[in-house]
Amino acid sequence: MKSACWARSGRMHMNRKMDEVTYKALIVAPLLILLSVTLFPFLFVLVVSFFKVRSYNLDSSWEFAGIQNYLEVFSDRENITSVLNTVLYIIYALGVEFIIGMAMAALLLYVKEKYRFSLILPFLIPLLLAPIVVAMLWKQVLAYDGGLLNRFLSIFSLEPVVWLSPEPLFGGNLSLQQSLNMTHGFISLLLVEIWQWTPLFVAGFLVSFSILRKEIIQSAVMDGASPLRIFTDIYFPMAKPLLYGLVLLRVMDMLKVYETIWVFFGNSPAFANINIRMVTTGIDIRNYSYCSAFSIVVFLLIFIVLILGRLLLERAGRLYYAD
Amino acid sequence: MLELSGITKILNKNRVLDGISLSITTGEFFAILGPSGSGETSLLNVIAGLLKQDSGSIVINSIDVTNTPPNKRNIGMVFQNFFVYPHLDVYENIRYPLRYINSYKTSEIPGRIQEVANLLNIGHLLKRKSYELSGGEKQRIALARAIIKMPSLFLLDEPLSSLDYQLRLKIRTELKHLHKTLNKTFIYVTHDQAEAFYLADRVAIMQGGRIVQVGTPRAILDKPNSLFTAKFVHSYYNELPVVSTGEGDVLDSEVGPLRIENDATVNAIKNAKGRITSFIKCQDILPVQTGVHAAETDNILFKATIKDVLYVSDMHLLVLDNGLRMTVLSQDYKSSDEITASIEKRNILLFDEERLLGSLG
Repeated sequence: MKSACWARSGRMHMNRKMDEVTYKALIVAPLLILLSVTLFPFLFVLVVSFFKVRSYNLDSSWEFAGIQNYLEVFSDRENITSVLNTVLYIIYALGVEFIIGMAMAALLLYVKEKYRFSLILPFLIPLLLAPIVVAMLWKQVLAYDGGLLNRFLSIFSLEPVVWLSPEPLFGGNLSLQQSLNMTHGFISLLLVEIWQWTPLFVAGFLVSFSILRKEIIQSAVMDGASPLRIFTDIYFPMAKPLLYGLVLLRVMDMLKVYETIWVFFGNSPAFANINIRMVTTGIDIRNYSYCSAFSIVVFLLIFIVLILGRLLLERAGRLYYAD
Repeated sequence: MLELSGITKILNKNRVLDGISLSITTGEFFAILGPSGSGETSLLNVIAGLLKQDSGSIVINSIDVTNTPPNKRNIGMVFQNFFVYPHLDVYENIRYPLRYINSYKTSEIPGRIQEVANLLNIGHLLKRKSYELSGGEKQRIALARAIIKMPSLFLLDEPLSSLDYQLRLKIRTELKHLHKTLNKTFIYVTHDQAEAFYLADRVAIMQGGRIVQVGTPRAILDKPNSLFTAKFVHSYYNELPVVSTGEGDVLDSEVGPLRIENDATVNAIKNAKGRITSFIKCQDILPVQTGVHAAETDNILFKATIKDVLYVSDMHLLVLDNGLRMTVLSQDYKSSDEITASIEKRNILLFDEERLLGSLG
């Protein structure tokens, strides 16, 4: 009887040990696969960035270049322009999307709760479209000859505009406008971005506003807070964590923008962002080592953005569904 | 202090408030009690100005506030599901109402906040984040936020319902003390009978958007004016259908014929509407010594066998084979025991479908 008990407990012990091994294997195995498919290319790019590697010597011996590639990356004006283009793109688009999204959500709060989400549903359609499709559609809309927008302007007897050009948007200080990317072409890019992604902010704001208990608002009303103060004191601070998360997601997405710029302007350096620049140097020119160095720099920049984003989320505090 | 007349409100085609008229005096602790969905919270929201009534008027301190915005009514409110602004610390939570009223000089505010916090025993929590606090502490902050405005009227909408039982008992004692200290008018909505009767000077019973009875706790407990109120305010009771034997002053019941000795009740029965029911609180059925005979007492006396003994809070509920139930403190009773019990005739209340007809004795 006793031995049977021992045998059973021994079996249980073995089973538990097996289970632990299985659990660990189930975690470690995919982790190893993930590391191999992400870490290996990263290390490869890192190594390549310290050599001179072009298409003609890819299969033969590589000449060690030290930090030469990095020095070239930092001295190349087009690289700096591409980083600036990316940063300005994010700042402008995010700012406009955030403000319009917030304003629309605030207005939608006045709509009866059961109609709110059905009302924004049609606006969510652009989110479902592939970026390349959106880019092609808008290229037609913004075309100089026969474009929908210019035809619309002609109704009011307005001159057609070369939307996809590096022409400054306003008169006056042209160089300032150009350095701030206030050009027809850049604004057209932003227009597409804002058209497609603002609904996400509307939905995000609306969700974060809607989860607040009505008593919180009623309490503020009893205290004498105006609608604007209720918005700035209650709605916005309490929605902050969710919105900061949304902003971070959009920043990550905007760092990946490629299709619209490529469809509108090809490889034009005036509009190139980091992705266009990487494709130009890596695939078009086939300067692998140079492109690798540029990629590593961009990677570090994104890493810094991520850390800042994390700090931002920590500062935003907890999500307050109810209390 | 507060005069409501003819308050009516229709929400989603339901008449949630149906011609409510009420008068509450200064310094009174007034409880509104009713089952869920009776309209108590809606009534509170109408008084606060958060819900616009369809008809009727509201007068607070002799001023008609029917169309006055909520923040101008000088009311402090504590909500059922909201105690604190979670993104603000305790100090800022209490200070929040002062952002919009100029009752104090800026230099006076910290002292005043400390004073109110000390009154509620949360003076040591002022620097804490709201989400770090317990339910009871949050509840006190909600009270502090109401008190800091020094309103003349406090509206409390089931403020203790989300707290655990022990904490509820503790805070309700503190609330009673706070009411005495502040000497202000409190209107307190609850579904908890014990809470209402413990706290209030007067209680209003609500049913289907109407106030069906207003009175002191004692008056309502002893003389509920309808079967609904009787059943709602008493936890353990017997509801016995009775029928007239044709003699006018005798009713037939499961425990035998009941002779009505109260003339007013006999007359009321003549005008009874629908079915007549007798109502006996479980604690009004008392065990008696064996050997006592019916002839020796004026009470209704009966013998029965105990079918079951149930433990309810700190009492025992005896279920008898004649269908009656009674509560006793003693632990000496077991299933299958024989018991002799008596009911005072004045404790047998008779109701028709609308109102109290009177007592048997």
